[in-house]
Amino acid sequence: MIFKKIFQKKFLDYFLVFLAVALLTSNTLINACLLYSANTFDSLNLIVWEYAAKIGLLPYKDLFYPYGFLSYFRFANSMNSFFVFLLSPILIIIFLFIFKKIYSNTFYAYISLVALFLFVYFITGFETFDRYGVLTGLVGVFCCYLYTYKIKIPKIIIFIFGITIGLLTLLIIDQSIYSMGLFIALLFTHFLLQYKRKNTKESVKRFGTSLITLLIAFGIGFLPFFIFLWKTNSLLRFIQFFSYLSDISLFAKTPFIHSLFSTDNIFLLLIGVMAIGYISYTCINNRDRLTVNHYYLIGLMYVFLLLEQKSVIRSIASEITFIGVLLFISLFYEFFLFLKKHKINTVSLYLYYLNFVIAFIFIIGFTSYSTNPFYYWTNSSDCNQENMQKQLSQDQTYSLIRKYISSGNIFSYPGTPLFYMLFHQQPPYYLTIYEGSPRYAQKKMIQYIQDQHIMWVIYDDVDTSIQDGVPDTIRAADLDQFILNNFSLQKNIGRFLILKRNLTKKDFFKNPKLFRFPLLKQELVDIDLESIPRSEGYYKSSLLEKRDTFFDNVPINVLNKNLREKNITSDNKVLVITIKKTDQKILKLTIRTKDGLKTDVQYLPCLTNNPCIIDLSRLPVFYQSRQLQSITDENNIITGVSLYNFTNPSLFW
Amino acid sequence: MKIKKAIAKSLPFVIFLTTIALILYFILPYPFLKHYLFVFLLILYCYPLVIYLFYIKRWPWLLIEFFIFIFLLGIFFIFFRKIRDALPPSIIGKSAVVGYAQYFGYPFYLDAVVFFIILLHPVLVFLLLKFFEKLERRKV
Repeated sequence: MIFKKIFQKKFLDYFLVFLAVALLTSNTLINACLLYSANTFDSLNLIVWEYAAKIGLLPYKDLFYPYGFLSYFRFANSMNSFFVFLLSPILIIIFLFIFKKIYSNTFYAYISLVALFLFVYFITGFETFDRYGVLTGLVGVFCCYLYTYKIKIPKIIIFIFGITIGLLTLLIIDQSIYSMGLFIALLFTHFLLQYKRKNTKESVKRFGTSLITLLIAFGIGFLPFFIFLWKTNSLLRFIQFFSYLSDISLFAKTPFIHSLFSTDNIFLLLIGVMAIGYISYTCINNRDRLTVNHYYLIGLMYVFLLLEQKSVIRSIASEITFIGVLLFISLFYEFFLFLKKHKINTVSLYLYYLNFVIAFIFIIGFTSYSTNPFYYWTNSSDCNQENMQKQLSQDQTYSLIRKYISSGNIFSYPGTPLFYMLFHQQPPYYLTIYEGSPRYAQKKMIQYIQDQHIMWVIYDDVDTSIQDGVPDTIRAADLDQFILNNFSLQKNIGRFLILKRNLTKKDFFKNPKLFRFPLLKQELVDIDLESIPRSEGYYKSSLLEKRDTFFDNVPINVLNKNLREKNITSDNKVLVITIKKTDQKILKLTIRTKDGLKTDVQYLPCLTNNPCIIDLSRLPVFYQSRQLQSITDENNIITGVSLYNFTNPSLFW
Repeated sequence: MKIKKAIAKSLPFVIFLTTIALILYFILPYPFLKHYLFVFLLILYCYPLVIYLFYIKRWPWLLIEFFIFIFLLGIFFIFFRKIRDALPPSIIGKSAVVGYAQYFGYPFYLDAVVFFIILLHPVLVFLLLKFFEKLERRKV
């Protein structure tokens, strides 16, 4: 019966397209082994997440994982691999369904599908398409149904959509949550577009009912995931995971303006402005003449805006260029209809369309993800191990370290998580200090070091690519402090420094081996605080209270005289500086201790009428308590210094 | 209207030129010629947009919108550094997160606000124009 239906003319094209795409992407099924071609932060994390799934660790509960179960367990069982393989052909036939619904010209629908497939094949890559394509496809189908049923959308349709995205939380959580947000936005937009003043009450009632139906259905669809979380004691961690997501945006933020000039971003900006301009013009002026293509454009516009806000935090432009291409296909269709009205030769129009497609794929120069990661043929039964070996073979240092550390658990700092695989060890909840940037995450990593009785720290002193130019000592000050206070330098192997746990209390700066590593020493004593003192002064100077003051706005020589005469330790001390107006771009302080150490601190000038605040315990030299001897103002610019004893240091950075 | 139709009619010629330019782009071995061809192709690709702008009946609106877009972009790029430096730095909150924005004092929401103003300004412009049009109709 099913086969009979499939081979009916109505479904035959879907079936054939499904088969064709499945064949073209079959290498993902025949051998689901992914080779991550570059030794990058992302690649290493992906390999270690695969390893974590293999050893039975659960996402959210045992380790931080931002995506869904579908990709987490993709190599852990063949059923999941099969589902992942099916995703691309299913998405492509969803797009065929959308295109056939929106483009009355069937030929246009088919060549648009081919254009999309080629773009994904050569530029976006199926890995990325499987992720963001889900959202785009779901929104497209939802728009088609909204348009088809106009005012009276059957509750069952809304219910099915709600259930579907609810169930998706189990598989691809981020896309499911985005879909939910966008469906609500689309329902509201639909309500506004169909709104008639004389039917206000009825329209509001319909919108309310649809919204409630969607939310209830989503809740029902979410139930399996909820039960899973409940049964595995992961529910609390899952809720915490959501609060953590807001912190991700804080530490992931990089300037968008610099990346705005990439080909991908320029294309997205132009096509985005054009699409938004066109659709807002049409909705405002020709509300009664909206077509299904206009609805689809509205949906795409929402997807575009949602993903662009993500891109503004940290550019993902190169991953979402295919959404720009989808916007182009729909905009071009409007143009296509306009030209057909003027009886322009259809062949030449398709030729023009083809020119665009060729330009997108081969000329414009979008960033291509089609080869990273790529699938490859292997006879190995353990793809994950083979992947690790391929990564390790690029650098002999790993095997040398494996030989040197014969026993005891290791901790990788700031984060080369491949070591946990190499030492057959359970990785920490946050794989690197990048994800572990918030203070509570650092505390969790410290807890891991204590619980796992870590004997060795493998310190990568060179790789700063994961830290956006923020030094380790600044980003992960708590963790850095714990490591330097509890571990001692042993030797270096390649770019890695090997630190061993202290059996007795030791001073890291008094370790004679430190002198063999002048660069490391310099990194620990020459501290560039950049904007932190000015930011702390701007936002937190009101937290300082007079009763905690040792010295209140005294000249620096008065402070130094007192420091020399009295024994004032660095414990819980906060230094507050006021400066003269200056044109200098960087200021510098030198702080000396009575045990012969000194540290240079660079910082940006304080903001007008605000002091600069430096929490001394955050400087590596003061990770251990030391007696202060003097503070030297290298720029001769400080007008007054205050020294506060602060018992609640967590108020400051 | 005749001129607009004539522009539309000229499209097959543009398409022909584009196809030739595209073929040449792939055939030509000289990189410097490819750069010129690339620019030429971009102009040809933009041609339909220009026709479309001129065809729509209320094109002065679109033209206004287009100038506002250019104006906004110009303002943004000329004064970007000044705006950035004038805004307060990102706060280091309770979770003590120090990423790029907090370390280098980059105003956290600057990019988002500016970028979304540029992206979403057409909605506001068209709404305002519609509003003024309605006001004018009422006066008449």
